[in-house]
Amino acid sequence: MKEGGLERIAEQLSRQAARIGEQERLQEREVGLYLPSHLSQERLYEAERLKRALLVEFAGASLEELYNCAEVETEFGPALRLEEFVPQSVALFDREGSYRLLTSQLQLLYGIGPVVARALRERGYRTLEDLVAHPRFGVAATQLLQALRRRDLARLKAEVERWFCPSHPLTLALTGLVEGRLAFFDLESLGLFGRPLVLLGLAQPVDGGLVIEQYVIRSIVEERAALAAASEALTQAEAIVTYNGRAFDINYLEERLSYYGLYRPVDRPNFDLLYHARRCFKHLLSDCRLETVERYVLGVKRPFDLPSALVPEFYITYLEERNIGPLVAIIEHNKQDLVSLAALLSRLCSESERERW
Amino acid sequence: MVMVDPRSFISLLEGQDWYSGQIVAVRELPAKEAEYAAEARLLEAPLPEPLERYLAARGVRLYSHQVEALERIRSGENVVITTPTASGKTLAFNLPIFERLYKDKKATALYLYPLKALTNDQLRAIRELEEETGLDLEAAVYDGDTPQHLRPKIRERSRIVLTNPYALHEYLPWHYKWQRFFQNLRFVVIDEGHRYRGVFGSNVAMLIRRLRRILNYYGSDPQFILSSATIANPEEFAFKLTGKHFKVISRDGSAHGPKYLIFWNPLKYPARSAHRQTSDLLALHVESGLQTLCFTISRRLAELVARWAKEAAPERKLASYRAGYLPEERREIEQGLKERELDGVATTNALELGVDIGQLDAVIISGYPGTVISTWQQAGRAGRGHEPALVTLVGFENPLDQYFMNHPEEFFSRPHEHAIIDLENEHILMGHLLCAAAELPLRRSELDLFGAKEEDLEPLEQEFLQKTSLGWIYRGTVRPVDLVNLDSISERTVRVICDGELLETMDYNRALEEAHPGAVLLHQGETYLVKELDLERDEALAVKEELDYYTDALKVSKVGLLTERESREVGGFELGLGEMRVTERVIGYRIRRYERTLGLKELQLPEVEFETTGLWLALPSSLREEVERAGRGWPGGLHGAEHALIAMAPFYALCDRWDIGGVSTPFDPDLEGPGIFIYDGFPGGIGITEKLYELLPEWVEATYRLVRDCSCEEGCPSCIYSPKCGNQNQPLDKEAAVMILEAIREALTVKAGA
Repeated sequence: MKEGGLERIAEQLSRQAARIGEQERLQEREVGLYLPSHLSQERLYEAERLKRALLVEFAGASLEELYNCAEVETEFGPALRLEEFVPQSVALFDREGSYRLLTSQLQLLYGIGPVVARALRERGYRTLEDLVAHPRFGVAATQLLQALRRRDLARLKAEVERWFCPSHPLTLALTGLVEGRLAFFDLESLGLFGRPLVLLGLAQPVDGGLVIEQYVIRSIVEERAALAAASEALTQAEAIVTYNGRAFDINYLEERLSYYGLYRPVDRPNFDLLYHARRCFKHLLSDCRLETVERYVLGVKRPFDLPSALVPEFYITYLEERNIGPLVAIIEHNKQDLVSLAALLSRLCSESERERW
Repeated sequence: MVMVDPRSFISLLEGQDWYSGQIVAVRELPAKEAEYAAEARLLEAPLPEPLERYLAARGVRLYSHQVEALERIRSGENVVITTPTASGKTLAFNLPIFERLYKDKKATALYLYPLKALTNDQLRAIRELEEETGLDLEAAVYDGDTPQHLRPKIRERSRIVLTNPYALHEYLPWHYKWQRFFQNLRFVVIDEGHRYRGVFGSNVAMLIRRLRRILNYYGSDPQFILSSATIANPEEFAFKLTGKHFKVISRDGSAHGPKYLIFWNPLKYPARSAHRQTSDLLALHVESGLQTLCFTISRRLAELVARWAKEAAPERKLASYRAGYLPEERREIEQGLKERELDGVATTNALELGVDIGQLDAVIISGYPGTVISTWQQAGRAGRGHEPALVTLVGFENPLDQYFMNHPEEFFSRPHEHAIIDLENEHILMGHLLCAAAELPLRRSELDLFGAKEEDLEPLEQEFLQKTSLGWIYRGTVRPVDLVNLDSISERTVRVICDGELLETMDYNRALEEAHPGAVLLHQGETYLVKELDLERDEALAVKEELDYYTDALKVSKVGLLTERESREVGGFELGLGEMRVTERVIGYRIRRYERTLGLKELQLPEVEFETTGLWLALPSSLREEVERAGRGWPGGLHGAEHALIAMAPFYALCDRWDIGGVSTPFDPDLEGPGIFIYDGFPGGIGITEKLYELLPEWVEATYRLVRDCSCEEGCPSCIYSPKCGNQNQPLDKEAAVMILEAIREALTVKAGA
């Protein structure tokens, strides 16, 4: 090959990448809730102004000064973890209510549809407990009750989703059974799949608030360690709550784990609130992105606004300028996503409890 | 059904009032008896009972080549099978694959087809085999059309998956979801292998290396089985495509009746167009009771020929066929052919591929399909058992077609074309290296597989790759699979949009030629008119329109020599191969209906510049004197020789005439004298001129004979005219071209003889 030929090809690839990036940003992409069609020129300028302001504000600053940072040792080197307590309490289904609600659902058993359920109720079988003595459904009822007592979330969630749809409020009732850790999970990345992650955020409800744990990838060489640490934290949880995690966050996490040869299925029950938000709010909102829901349903107003679609651009600027300003915006954005996710779950649970079904 | 005697059919043809000596040659290929493997070595070991039962129920006795394939595959070899159409290739590899999958309950197999349309057809065949043998392998197609809800099940359970390279390219990054399938992968079948050539093939060769790397990661190293039309270089080709060594199985054991090839030159009867004569032929065939398939060069012609033939033979059942029809419509025609309810079908080359339509009595090939390979593929549709078969090749008014009309013996005596794959195109290589690095960290030890060196990655570290202790990690912000288009050289591409839908993407350079405003674009046999080419957004807007004309871009080129890879001197000529910088500009286009020019239009388009591989011929000034002494034009001779050389190139290196370009000049500053340059029309080169350089003596010889034997006086579209010449075919001097070609030929022969 000719002198400089390789450089020329690399430049051409860069130009091609820029063009595709532009197209991608302009396209509506449901999968990651990257719906920047609403990203008006105005908002892009606003974000650019924000970025510049951040670069000035944080020039020479370090994450350690701003956050409670810890280096978590992993098999693959240290991962940076930011920890913070946010006084935002989470109100879930109460245990009793969940239990009552679930045991009253005769349709959770194979062979019982609406018609049979009505007939059974007329004959005095009102709960799964009543059905234990039933000649045909007794065995199944006993098994399901055992799963309920064991709080076998995976099994129960599978049953609920088999007979009802994933957005059915009954799914939410299952969160009331969680005794151990519940982890809210949200990740930030350089794009939709196949590209490195930037940050993995988890939040765990504790008394009076949320503990936010964020694994920040300062450079790509830290991605593997961050993945290992975050996925370890996730496996400690009894259940996971995400927003579109079924299609995006969990898939992406698994893909990145497998990229580094660390694949293990993230098989904790995942409560994906996107389905519920759609059911409850789609008539009220133009779209069901978390940013829209939090704004109009939860009344959250972000102090500064970094649209999800611009995370890659901010991250690249952080790397190129060696200035944490744009990274701070990503960290705060992710934190707010986690807080909103927790607030949204509380809101959905209370709505469901009020609903009569 | 009484078979018509071919000889009497030919007499019938000669008795038509529209016959005027168009039959320029008839060649009879003798019948052949089936060859079976000698009883003793029929099969080393019997097949599992369900497969034996299947063969017995169908009364199948394996041909010698099928047995050979089976035994070689059994013993773990990679094989490339190049026996003709309808020789039972598919069964030859399906049997050992099914055997293995039957014995090893976890084993899986991946089948790759060059086009989506083929997978469904092949799936039916495999499902049939599953049903009849009672083996449940849950074979499934997995591509862009696979419904979302079926995908997890296929990934988790299917043991045979059929797909195409485009889909594989897209899904390879998701390898972890395919862990079970990949871990147990024992076979990769690449059907219609000869289609993986040129730019597409070179991209697929890289894709297959990516696949092999992923498979290696999951601990599997499957056998590769290639099925291909006959090509000149099956071993080399298969090796380049996959990086594995192959055994070639080419000796056909199947039986067939005698085959008659008729060369029909419509130019002998200028009063009626080649297309009209095609329909006359089709009508006469079906009237005589010959079930006939007629291949045409476009969908519109398929429809016209069918319609005209129907008018001439109203009581016969005729139809047209093309890729764009709905699956049900296509199935109906395929079924109609198979069950002999249809008497004749005019089709685009869509029926050349492995679609199951049974065998017919006769085939008409209207217009040389561009390659010997395709011609034999199409001809292979004729021939039912031991019955005689008729194949008629209707030659158009262009150099390759007329070369065959004037030298029919050439068609039979020459080997098939070389299928070309270039593993050294850095544009293609770099794009795929990015894809690989995004699939798994790319380790230094893995670079060899791609033929890459560490330096190749350095320029990519700026933006796309990060060197870490694990290897190179992809860190770009776009999916690298989006940076690579398997149909083009990874560079600037233009999207052709019709009704808001993406029709195709093409290289920027190619778009200037084929998607300029006013261009008629052929896509799967349909015609589209390009309304606008927006080079800001790299988009061409086209509308679907029924058009009966074509356009050819007129291009002017300049060439500057960069480096010389090798050169030699023979008889005063210097022949060289090296890298060159090419500057091309499309200056306008010609509007053409069939072979007639209707008009010329000017265009204002930017110049393109790229570096590529090319060859040159520097000519001695003594030749110039000789030509001028004879009173002929020197520049016109060079120009004519260049056009003719380009026109004959596809005969040697499997490519389209437009995949290469050329320049001729009475004085080139690099050569310090007169010269002819011929180069690959793609950035980085794609191996075509390299192959031509290797085959120079044969190529020049054939070109010389093409021009010498053309019956025209002063040059015509059948010899030295080029429809894309930006200089309006000026100047051209046929006799001078013959003199020049003859001189080069002599120089090369002397060399060979010495």
